[in-house]
Amino acid sequence: MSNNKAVIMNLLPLIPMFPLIGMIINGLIGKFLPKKLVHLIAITALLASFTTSVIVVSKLVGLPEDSRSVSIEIFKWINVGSFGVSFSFTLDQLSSIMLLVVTGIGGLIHVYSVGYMNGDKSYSRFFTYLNLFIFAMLLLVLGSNMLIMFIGWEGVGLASYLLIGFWFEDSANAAAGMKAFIVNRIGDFGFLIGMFILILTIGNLDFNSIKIAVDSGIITGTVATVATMLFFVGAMGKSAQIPLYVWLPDAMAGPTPVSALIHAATMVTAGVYMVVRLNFLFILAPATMTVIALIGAFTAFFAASIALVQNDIKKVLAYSTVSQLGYMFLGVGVGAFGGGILHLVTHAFFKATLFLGAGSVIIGMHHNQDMRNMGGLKKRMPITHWTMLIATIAITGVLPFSGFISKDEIIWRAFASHNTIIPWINYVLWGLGALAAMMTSFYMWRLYYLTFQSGETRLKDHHVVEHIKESPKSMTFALVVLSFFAIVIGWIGLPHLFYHGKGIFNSFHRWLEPLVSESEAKIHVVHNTGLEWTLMIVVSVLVYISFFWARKWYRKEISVNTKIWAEALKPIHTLLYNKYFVDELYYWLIDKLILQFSHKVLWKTIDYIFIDNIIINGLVAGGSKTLGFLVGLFQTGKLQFYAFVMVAAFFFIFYFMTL
Amino acid sequence: MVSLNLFIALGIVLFFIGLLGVLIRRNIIIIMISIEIMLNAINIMLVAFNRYKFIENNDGLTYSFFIIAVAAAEASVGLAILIAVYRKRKTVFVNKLNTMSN
Amino acid sequence: MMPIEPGILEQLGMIIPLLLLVVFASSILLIDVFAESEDRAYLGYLTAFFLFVVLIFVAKDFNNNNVSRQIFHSSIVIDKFGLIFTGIFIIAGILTSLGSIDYLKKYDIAIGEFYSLIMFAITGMSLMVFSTSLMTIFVALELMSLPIYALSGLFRVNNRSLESSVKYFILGSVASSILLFGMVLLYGATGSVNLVTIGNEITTKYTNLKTVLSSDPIIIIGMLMVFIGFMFKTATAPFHMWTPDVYEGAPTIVTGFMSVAVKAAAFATFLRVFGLSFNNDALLHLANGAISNTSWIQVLNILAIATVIIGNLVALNQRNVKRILAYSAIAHAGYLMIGLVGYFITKDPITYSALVLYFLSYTFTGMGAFIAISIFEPKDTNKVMLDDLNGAAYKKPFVAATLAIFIFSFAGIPPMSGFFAKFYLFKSAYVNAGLHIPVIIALIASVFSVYYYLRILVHLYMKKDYGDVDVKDYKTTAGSVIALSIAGFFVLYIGILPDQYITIIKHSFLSLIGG
Repeated sequence: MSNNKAVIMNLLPLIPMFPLIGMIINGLIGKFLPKKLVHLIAITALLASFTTSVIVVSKLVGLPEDSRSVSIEIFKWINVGSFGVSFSFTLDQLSSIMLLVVTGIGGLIHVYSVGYMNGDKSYSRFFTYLNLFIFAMLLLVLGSNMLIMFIGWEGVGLASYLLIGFWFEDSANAAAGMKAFIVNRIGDFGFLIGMFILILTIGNLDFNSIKIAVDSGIITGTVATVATMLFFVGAMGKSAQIPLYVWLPDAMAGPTPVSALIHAATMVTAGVYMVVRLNFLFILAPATMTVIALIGAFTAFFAASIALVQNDIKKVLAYSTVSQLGYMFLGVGVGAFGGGILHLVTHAFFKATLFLGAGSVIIGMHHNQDMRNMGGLKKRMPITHWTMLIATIAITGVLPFSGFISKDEIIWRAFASHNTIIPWINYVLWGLGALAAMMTSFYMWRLYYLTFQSGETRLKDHHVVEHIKESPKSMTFALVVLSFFAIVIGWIGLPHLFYHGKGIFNSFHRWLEPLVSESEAKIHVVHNTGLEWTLMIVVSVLVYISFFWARKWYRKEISVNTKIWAEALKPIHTLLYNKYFVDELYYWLIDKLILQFSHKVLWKTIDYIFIDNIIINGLVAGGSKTLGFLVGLFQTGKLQFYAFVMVAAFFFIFYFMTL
Repeated sequence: MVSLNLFIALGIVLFFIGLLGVLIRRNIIIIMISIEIMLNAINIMLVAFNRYKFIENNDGLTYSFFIIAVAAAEASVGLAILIAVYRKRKTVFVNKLNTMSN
Repeated sequence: MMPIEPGILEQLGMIIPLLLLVVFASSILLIDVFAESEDRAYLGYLTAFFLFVVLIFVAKDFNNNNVSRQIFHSSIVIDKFGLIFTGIFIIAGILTSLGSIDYLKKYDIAIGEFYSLIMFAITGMSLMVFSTSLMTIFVALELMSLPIYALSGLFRVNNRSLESSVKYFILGSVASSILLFGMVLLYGATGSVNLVTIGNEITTKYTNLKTVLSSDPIIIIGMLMVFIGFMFKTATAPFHMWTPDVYEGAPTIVTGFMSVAVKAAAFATFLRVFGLSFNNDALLHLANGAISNTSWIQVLNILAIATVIIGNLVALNQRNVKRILAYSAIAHAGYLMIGLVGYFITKDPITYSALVLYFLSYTFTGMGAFIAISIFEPKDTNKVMLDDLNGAAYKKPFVAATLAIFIFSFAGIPPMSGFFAKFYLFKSAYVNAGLHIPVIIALIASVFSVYYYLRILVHLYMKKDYGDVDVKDYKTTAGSVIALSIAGFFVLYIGILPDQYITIIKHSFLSLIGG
């Protein structure tokens, strides 16, 4: 028993160490190493991390249920007066799940990148950044206090920025990186203020101390509401929720493995992870929970509607990711913390498959991303086709694929959880969730049919068309493994309807129970098996309807019918196609309103004339410089004058001290 | 016997003569001599304290030798610097050395 | 009463670091003579290696030393306080000798004496912080100062260097004389030069301190003169007048050594002397003056504030980089003086560790900054104006990047060590010692300081005009790169993970109380 604990404590610090070492080696001398060695180093680092993770998690399983939380202090970091932070890691039920997801999917995507980035001139730089990302993500996941988590939080943000702008020669890519960075700063600001509030209240940032403070009532509802609202602002930025989601679609400028790893599977789910990690704090703030659920549901709905009409294959997937993240927040917002994490896990697998499949398609199409040019790739890229098909079924929510299981739980809980602030809100949440599920089915099948079916490739350039072929083994390997998990990973958390009274149990929820059951118990959930079956069937029917709809429209060549419909719905189409003009709205707000105001009033008048010229340059700088000049006059360069000043000062002090 | 206070007075007067010399004389050689005067004034006081107040041991006398030795070392370094200055500037007047100031 | 002393061999064994320093310093001269070589770069590396060996001995002593031992008739005490400062001097010495290689070669004055003098100066500093006797302190002070006088006149053909040497020599000698005068007066009043004995005498002899002055003024005057001697060496206003000129004229690398090691030695000894001899609280807070009612602590406070203000304000107008750094060194002396006053008030491990941590941070920052500046110094004019740095970052990106680290550290911007050291020092002075006004003034002044610090970086990075500096002047070899890397690494390391250093420093605090 204690042996297990000792093994965990010994191995845990190694897990983030491996990618760190990989990053340092590739970062310092990667440029001079042969490509094979570069990716070998990076992949070995991830493989070592993954193996170690599997070992520690299996040891964690071996521990008794109530003591599955092992912390280890690496070193004491800051110790100033009453405020102390130690650099320590915690392995518990939640972080072990994230650990496996991050290192497992991360490892596969590293393998995939070998094929995808083959021939790129900054090969070692790419793997350096990827390892940096994994290192930061592991800090985020393993940190046992909010500061370590925040370092990881900022670290993944940095890695994301670097990778979005990886091909920075194109200024649009660099601008996309910048946009992600700036939008995330807004969120981080909230996160920071939230941390300051916690420090002020309990003088500590340890998750355990926060839990203790919550239990003992030091943190009141008001403090919890303010702090959690601020944390959620941070989560909005990182996890791309309304209104801070605008950076994620642009982030697709980065290489596709990056989109799969960072902007679908791991980093963007950090917000969900943070909410679940602090579930005991969030549950104290029903207002925040309601806001989270609402924003999640709206994000799921709006992003899905935008995805309906996008033509860029990665853009569709990007909005799909935003929409699925919305589901996760909807889940945690209604108190289904386990459901949120389950969806996080299943989403990580099927969305990674989809992105990697899209990457494979993009490579096959010679970097053409417009779906209108694709079609008929089924024959040319069979493995990509089959894996994408599996992932599409999974995301749309068809039994028994993983997406169904996790999504069904969230949608049911959205309906069944009682909200104390707005009692009828569960109908709205359910409605948005169900409609979003329907739209998900539509846009995913649209993507599938446009890309792989619908006749022959519509690309005009015959020279390229002839060369479309399946991607190299390193890429298809990752696809196959991920798609396998996209089918089965959901089975760890089957809905209780399926096993009720049959002696099977939901291993996933049993696993997370010690962490979240206390909080989940505080939410009143309706238990009505008949209603649950009914709603499950209703959502499924909606999903099938959109499947057939999409199939009818896009299976063959784009039909005349489709065009008539598109004509009829032109205003809506335009609205959706332009993403509700949100970017334009933000642009107008920032550029016209805020910038003009800042420029004309704040800068030109207040800052430039008043503060800069009158106060700073006039009074402060002028005054201090003049004073400095006058004092400097004593520095005549004459030795004996210096001696005289010293002797005079001596007598002066002598006078003061003795008389 | 001459009283201790007289020795102290002599020491103080010599010390300030030396200090004044540093302050007003221009020639570096004279300034260095003034510094020697200050150190010797200190020596006089040291020996006088020992003889009048702490006759039981010879600590003060011993210390005065330390000071003499250190003063000699100081003088040698000072003269070396002075020679270097003279070779370069052809002057030993301290008021000519003011190329650096604010 | 004298503690029982160990045998002479054991006593010598305890000062092995000092003996090694003397042996190495002498052997460098011999090696220079016998190993004939045109290129004397190896001397720098050899010196660094020698100093590293001594550092290992010091570290070993620090680990083994649990009891402070008084040796040589109580004139020296080997304790962790002295060892930690010896470590600081040696680190400064290692950085100096590594950083000097390129610099001396640039001016064609690579000579063995340079390294020998550096090591002798370190010997003097170390002896000074170990001393518990006024006379040893004086001899050690001279052993430290005489090599520095010579080093600042190292450029025998350069007006500024010679002038700096003369100014430093004459003013330094006068300050030493004043210090010695004070020491002799203390001897006359108490009959001893041992710091502990003097402290005991003061406490027992003058029960009613109010009457000290009228009955026996010697002690107060003696204290004052010792005090002023140290003020001179620490460059506290108004005894800072020599600093800008001497720092500007001296060879840049020597300036770095002076501003770091000499100042640390003076501060440490000041702390030792006042901590041991004048540690009577009543005496420190005593308002001697019947008219002005000023106590020691108040005087120190006022001088510290004056130092901070003068250093920061005058630096604003300077265009000579070395002069900027000289005034900045004065400002930092002011911050340190505030910390020292805080320590005198509280005498607790927190203010103490804040002070020592500041020295540690300042050692790496200051040495690094001066080494980087010495690389950018144009050979022909022998002085570094701000315009000389224009665009230099694009010619020597590594050196410029490390210089930026040091400048940020000076300015106190996280995550550099300068930020944490300053934060910790001000916090301990404000919270623990209750020095509210000095700390607030120092904070405001350090905001001003950002202006002249960042100005250096502006010229380094943002001025497109490359100046007319010959690229050949910017030659760097392994020595400078190693020195800059070490300094940069530690500036970041201490800034990010200061805790373990504070722990080590707190260990040395216990020995100071015991000694």
